[in-house]
Amino acid sequence: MTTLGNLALVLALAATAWAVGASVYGALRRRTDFVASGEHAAWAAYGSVITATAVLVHALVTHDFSIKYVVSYSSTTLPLRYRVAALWGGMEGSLLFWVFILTTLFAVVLVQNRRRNRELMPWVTATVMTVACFFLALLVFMTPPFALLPFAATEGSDLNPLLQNYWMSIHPPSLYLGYVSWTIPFGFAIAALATGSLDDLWIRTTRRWVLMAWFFLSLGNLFGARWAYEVLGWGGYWAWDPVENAAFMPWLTGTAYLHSVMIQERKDMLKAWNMSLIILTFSLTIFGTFLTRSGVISSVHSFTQSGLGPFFMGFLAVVIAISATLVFMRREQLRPANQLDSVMSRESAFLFNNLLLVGIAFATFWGTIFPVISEWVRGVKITVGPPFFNQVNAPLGVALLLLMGIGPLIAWRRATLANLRSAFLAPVLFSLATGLVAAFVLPAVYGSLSLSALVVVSIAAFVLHTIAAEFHSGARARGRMVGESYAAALLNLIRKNQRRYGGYVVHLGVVLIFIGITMSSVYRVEEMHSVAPGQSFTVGRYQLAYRGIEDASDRHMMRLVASLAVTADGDELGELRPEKRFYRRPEQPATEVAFRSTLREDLYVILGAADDEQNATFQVYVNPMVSWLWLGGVILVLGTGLAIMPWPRVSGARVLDSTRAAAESGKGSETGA
Amino acid sequence: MRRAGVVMALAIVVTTAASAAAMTQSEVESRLACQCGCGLTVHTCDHLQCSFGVPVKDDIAAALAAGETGEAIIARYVAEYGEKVLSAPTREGFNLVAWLAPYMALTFGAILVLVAVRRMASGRGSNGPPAGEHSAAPAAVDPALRDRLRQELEELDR
Repeated sequence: MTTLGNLALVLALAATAWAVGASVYGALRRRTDFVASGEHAAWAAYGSVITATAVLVHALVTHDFSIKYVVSYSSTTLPLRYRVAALWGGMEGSLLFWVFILTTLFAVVLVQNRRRNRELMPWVTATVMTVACFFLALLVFMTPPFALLPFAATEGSDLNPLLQNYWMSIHPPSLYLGYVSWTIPFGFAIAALATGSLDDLWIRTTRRWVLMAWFFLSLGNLFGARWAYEVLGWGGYWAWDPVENAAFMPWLTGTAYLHSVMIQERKDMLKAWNMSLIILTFSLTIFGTFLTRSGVISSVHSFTQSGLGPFFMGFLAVVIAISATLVFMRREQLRPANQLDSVMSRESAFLFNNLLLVGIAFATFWGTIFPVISEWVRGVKITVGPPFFNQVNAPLGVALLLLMGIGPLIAWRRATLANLRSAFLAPVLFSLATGLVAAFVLPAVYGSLSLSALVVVSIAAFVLHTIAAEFHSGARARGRMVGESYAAALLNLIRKNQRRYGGYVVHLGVVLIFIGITMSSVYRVEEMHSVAPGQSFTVGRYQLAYRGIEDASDRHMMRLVASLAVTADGDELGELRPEKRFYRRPEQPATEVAFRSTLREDLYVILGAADDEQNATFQVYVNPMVSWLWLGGVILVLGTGLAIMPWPRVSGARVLDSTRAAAESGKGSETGA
Repeated sequence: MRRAGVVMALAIVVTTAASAAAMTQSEVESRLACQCGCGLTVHTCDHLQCSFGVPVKDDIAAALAAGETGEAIIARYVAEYGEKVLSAPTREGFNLVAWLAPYMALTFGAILVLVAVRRMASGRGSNGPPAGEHSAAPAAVDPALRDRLRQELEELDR
């Protein structure tokens, strides 16, 4: 089987190399036979990568301990779901998984574009296959996944216990899908630059791909945050770890692109900027891969470090050099075809939104690499930890939140002072009123007033009012013009303008995320208690009665599970069961937290230590409103789904009339939020 | 540009001055990076038996109770472990670059955006029609239709 796996990888490498060469030659010489051959080679590469992936998964599932990778990342006692997940648990497997996703996505591109975009396709094939070729070359020459041990082992070392969590099955695939999907828009961008077809064709073609990439990257980040929250030692939901930053940066630049591309669609402007954002986003995905695997910067995600850093840096340099050269060569065609009608317009607001998003991305990048720069320049190792990122990025984040509310209030093309006054009046008053209420409520509930919480809550109210008003005024206007009921008008409004209203739903999710992060950071309560079975203790408004510890060990791990009965204000709230685990292979302890989550707060309990008499120490946190973060994440995902989902078109002349009228106003076009 | 620089310098001075006031246990813990490999501060490290964080927390509590200032405690740890024990770069010397660069980049970006917006609004740097030509296009629209559209748009804007 390993021979088959190795052969498949070599064939895939050869196929991608041929696909690149044939596509470029076919495009330059206008030889359709070579272009077709390039696409066929891409299919061949896909088939070979599927084969190699299947061989590795089979080896993991069937415990083929002659393969070094299988020994390193699995064992006979490892449950099946983690044996499959071990595919992306180590360096070689994760690179193979990366190529598997990339070739799968490109197969979809090939099917979609078998009759469309024929001028662009050879260059798209060449670009995407170059990326695949790079990863396959690493797999064939540097980190072969099917390397054999001198003699077969009888047992494996097992997957890192920290990874033996159900999030392992969904977080890395989501993140990888997010990362890898950006290759497709990047491929089309390079194709547009190479051919000079710099109209909005490549933008329209990649619209859904971009949303999909953003969707999965958002999902990956959220899943990662949730996983870190549930696993002790990963610093809560966000710790500004270099690898977390690596996933956050392309999300930021991708978000900037999602906004600025609307201006190109509406006004044929910002072509060079949008091109740069796509190139930057793709480059950041490669940079993220470099960070995860190079070991240049110390990270809590150190389980996939290797000596591949220089190769990724080299590849990144080539990507940036070629992309920058193409942009420079096409600079005349990338000039805007139109002009802004006014400095005071939503278009300008979008540019400032882009500035903040890219600014946060830069600050994050800078903080991530500064330890390396410091060591180069001064020879001194320093730490750039969460306090730096929080202090630098928090004000920028709040400014971005504010801009999220301001943007929709400014008219497209041209705003006047009069309509700005009338548009801002209600949300500003609502925001002030909410701030006033919060100034009394927050000290009453949490015992003190935090200025950051007050500012964020007030701005959040401002944004929420803006979003609600967008839905309400749109539905009311449509209802009047088309003669529909309010509910029907609202539904049809959303169906006709999926991207715009999906965007507003995403904004709603982001507002909730901001509230969750702020409140859980500012008003967190933390206590430690040592108790004997039968004793109780109080944390915040909760009383916890410790019942004792039970042994729930199995052949995979030793497990001590504590039982705590929770009551609050006389109400029984159920049981919390925090665990101490000790994995048998590798011999490593782990702690499973237990928490009770409500919209108001999370009661979060960690079993610290326990002795033979079952005396135990518990670390207990009360994290206010942290579930708003997850709820916001769910809403963000739903909003993106709404924007992507192909819904049946609304028919009827009257509807079309009303939509056209709304589109003219800049209020009802598909390119809204 | 100069004004922006003054504002940034002022912001840094203000934050530094604020941090010089009497520090609480959690503030001292937050200024120190845990050395157990978690990448967190001593305050946020949630490893219960952390070989670095737990004794340091005890030491900080004892030192503060004995009257040692937060800054003195931090200086003691820097002397022992080097600058890497600080959770964020100091605001002096080369480290100042870490703090200033994001704001300088942002200021530079803001200036670029302002210039770009003005240029785009004036029609310079575009391949499109000049401003006069562009804004004259809707002249052919029926005035009655335009009035109706205006009315409806006002309704929408309300």
